[in-house]
Formats: sequence, C-alpha cells, structure tokens
Amino acid sequence: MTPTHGKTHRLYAGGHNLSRFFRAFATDEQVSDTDVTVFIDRARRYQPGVHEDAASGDGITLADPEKARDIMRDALGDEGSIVVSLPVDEPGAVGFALPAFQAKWAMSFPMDDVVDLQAEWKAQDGAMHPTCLLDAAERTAAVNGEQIDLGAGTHDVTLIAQLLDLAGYTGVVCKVQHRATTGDAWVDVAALTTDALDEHDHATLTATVQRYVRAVATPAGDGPGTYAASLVIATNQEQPA
Amino acid sequence: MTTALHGKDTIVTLDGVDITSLVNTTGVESTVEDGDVTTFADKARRFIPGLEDNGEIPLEGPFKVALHTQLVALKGVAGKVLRITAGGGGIGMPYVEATGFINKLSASFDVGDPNGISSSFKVDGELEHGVVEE
Repeated sequence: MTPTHGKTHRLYAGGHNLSRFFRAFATDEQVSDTDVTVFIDRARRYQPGVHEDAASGDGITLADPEKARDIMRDALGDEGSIVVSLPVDEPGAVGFALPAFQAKWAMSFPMDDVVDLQAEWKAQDGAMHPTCLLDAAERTAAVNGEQIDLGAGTHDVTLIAQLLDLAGYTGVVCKVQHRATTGDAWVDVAALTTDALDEHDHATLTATVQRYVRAVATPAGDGPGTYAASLVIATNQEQPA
Repeated sequence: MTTALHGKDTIVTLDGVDITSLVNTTGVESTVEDGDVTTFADKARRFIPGLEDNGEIPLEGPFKVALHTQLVALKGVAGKVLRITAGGGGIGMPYVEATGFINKLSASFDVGDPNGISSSFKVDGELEHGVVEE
C-alpha cells in the first residue's frame, strides 16, 4: 500500500475546486473523554464522550485576490455545501467531508508576500469519510464510474456531487447505480439522481443502497463540450454509544 | 549480557489487527498522580502517591487508507486493546498492553510533504506489562 503525497490532495467545496488556492489542509477529529474512576480503581478510568470534528486550511490567492474572495464566499457560504478533502482524487480513495457553511475564512495582505488564505471548519454532527466514486477529470462525454464495494448488506449513504467546471453543455446529471451482486444488472437509485447541475452547482442526497455502487455522469445539451464533476459517497454511521 | 532493543523492531496491534506496517511512531507514558500532604510542620513538600494515569498513546504514520479506515471505525469505541511489543515479538520480548479507545484522529496534507496520520489512544485503566510466551 503506497503512502500518498500532499501534492495529490484535492479540496472541493460548493462546486468549486479549492485546490487552486489551498496548499495545506489538516483534519482534527476528537472524542472527549469522561472520567469514570471510582474508589476501587487503581488507575484512572475513562469512557468516550462527544465527538468534535474540525479542519483547517492554508492557501494563497492567484493574481486576482478579488476572484478568490468571491469563490470563497460562494463555496463556503452556502448552507448546503460540503467541503470534500481527498488525499488523491481517484475512485476508491477515502477522504474527509464536513459542512462548508460553518467555515471561518480570512485573507491577509502582507506588504512583502503573496495574499494568503486561512480557513477553519467545524462539523455539526461529525465529519464524514466518503469514498470517491468519480474523479474530477475533464471529460467530453457521459461516463460510468468504477464499481465500488461498500461491503455486505445494504447501506444508508450520502452522495455529494459537485460540478466544478462546465463548457459547451447546458448541465450534467449525476446519479448512482447499485446492485447486490456483481452478476446483477445496474439499477438507478432514484433518490441519488441530481437535476442537471450547472457550473459550480452541488447536491447532497441520501438513500439506502445495495453493496455495489457506481457513479454515472451524463452531460445535457447538444455539445460538444467539457465538464469536470466530483462524486463521493459516505456511509452514514451513528456515533458509537 | 542484555542486548538493547531497537525501535525499528516494534510490533503494534490494535483491536487484534497488526498495524506495524502502518505506523512509525508510538510510545507509552505512565504517570502516578501525587497528592500534596504538606502541613505547617513540614519544611519541604510532602507527597503521597495517588491514582495511576496512563494518558494517551500516540499512533502516527504516513497516510494509508488501511490505517485511516481502521482508526475511523474505532474512533470513540470503548474497550479496544492496543499492544506494543518490542524486539520483533519473539519469545521473551517485552510488551505493553492497554485497553481504551481512539480519542483523536488527524490527517495532514501539505503540498510539499507526504500525507500523514496522527492519532492517540486514550488508556482506560491500568497497563499490562508482560513478555511474549509463545
């Protein structure tokens, strides 16, 4: 198993590719501990408590700080958008996701250095750890993603779809298909089918799926054109009691 | 003559899974709390031993999916066993075993560095010290 390098890390939020601006990102997941020590104990006893998950990022702006500011506002200000962090943007890669609207971000303008960005996020109900279904490569036509095995049984999942770039087409419909065994035909999951997304649109959908899933992205309109869409899927798990 | 043990031969298992190939940093720090019993008659501080507190055991390594997946699944789940064995784990090699839970998990991504994972295992109760017998 090969370790990954930071240079392959990708950060998407609210339909925007924040990898253009950020150069460092760190997650911070914590579980509080509750002291349950009693007289008969010889050492401190602890039980897990509440989960608190957060993340932070550092970056720089390009030649147009005002555009970066507009993107940050759009990406991190929408209540429905989710920040997705992937160590490498390829199907099967497992990442980290939390609500983008709880971000606090800042830009600073030093006299002798580039304009820089800092952002901090806090999760409300705990971070998710989604698996990449479709990488955000530039495509010119419809695509079926690779099969991803979620494990035996059925799974309650959250799909996070983001259309990062679009040209020539009028939109892109993103959906998930599933099947119980590798011998079955693929079946659309209606609840995990987006409307035709416009550039920088995003959608977060939930449903119950079978063991095997794959993403399908279909551009709308006559084209020719190009698009880049990121689809990740997270298994919904309750915090342990 | 006793031979010193090198850290590179450390074996680490978490919840029964060998994670030796996934981590490169760990360690144990055990503390006995002290109770200050100094009175007016004393010329120097007086202490008596209190509870043992075995703190948090760090588990760090390069970012690999297998380690990340396991730590995510164990985060906040009580009653897990972490065992650190020195010297390659042969018969007679010392080990430390702790029961507790993963209470911190961080991943770091920097454009100029390999990705990394940092986590800590909160120890619940006493540590078990022993030697490998079979």
